Amino acid sequence: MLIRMTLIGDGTVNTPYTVDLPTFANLVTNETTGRAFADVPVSDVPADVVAFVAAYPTFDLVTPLPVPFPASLANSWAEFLARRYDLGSAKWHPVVF
Amino acid sequence: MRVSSFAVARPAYYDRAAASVIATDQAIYAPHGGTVRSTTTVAAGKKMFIETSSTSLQNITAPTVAGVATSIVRLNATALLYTDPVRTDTLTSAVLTTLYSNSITGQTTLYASEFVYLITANTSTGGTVNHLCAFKATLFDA
Repeated sequence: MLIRMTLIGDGTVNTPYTVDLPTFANLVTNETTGRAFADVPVSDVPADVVAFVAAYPTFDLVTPLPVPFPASLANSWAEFLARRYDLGSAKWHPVVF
Repeated sequence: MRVSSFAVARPAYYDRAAASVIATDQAIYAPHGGTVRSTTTVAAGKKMFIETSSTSLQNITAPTVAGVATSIVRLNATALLYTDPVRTDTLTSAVLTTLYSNSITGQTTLYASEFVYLITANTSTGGTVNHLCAFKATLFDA
């Protein structure tokens, strides 16, 4: 599913722009607004985050979300990925932006 | 008489819940900073063989100032500890009728927590470049 995320990295070849997820494809970025669309496997997204994305659809890389992504959802997504990949809890902290 | 049991051979990797992982990023981009277009991470209890990967570049419209255009398949142990087994770079303002390309075929192993980046970058001013980065792998139980 397509999700608009916070862009991280500095755009060099050593630390390129990316989003904080273990698996995604088709990244499209806007370095000025710090946003990027990423195609994320549905199996990597918990139901409460899917519901948030559906409730606040985004159509460009400029317009801000009407409400900020709740910290509780950010935490639950990070914990979901930690369980799914079983690689430790500090690995990914994705944020819908 | 006592009969001892022989050890049972472990199934080959392709018989251990194996699944293909195929990732491709191919698009015509204007100049841009280094960007991870796609990534795949190996979960705990899994391994992944990278069986083939390729990159290519083709200038579609000429830049006004030529910089370096790049397509990379990067294998990472961490974000800052990596190797780029397949990479194509160009530094030309000429519109290209043929691709600059690179590819490998082999069986590079990635272990749990390691990951693959498909990266594009272009430091030119103006112009567009057709970037391709791709790999095919098999993910299986470690």
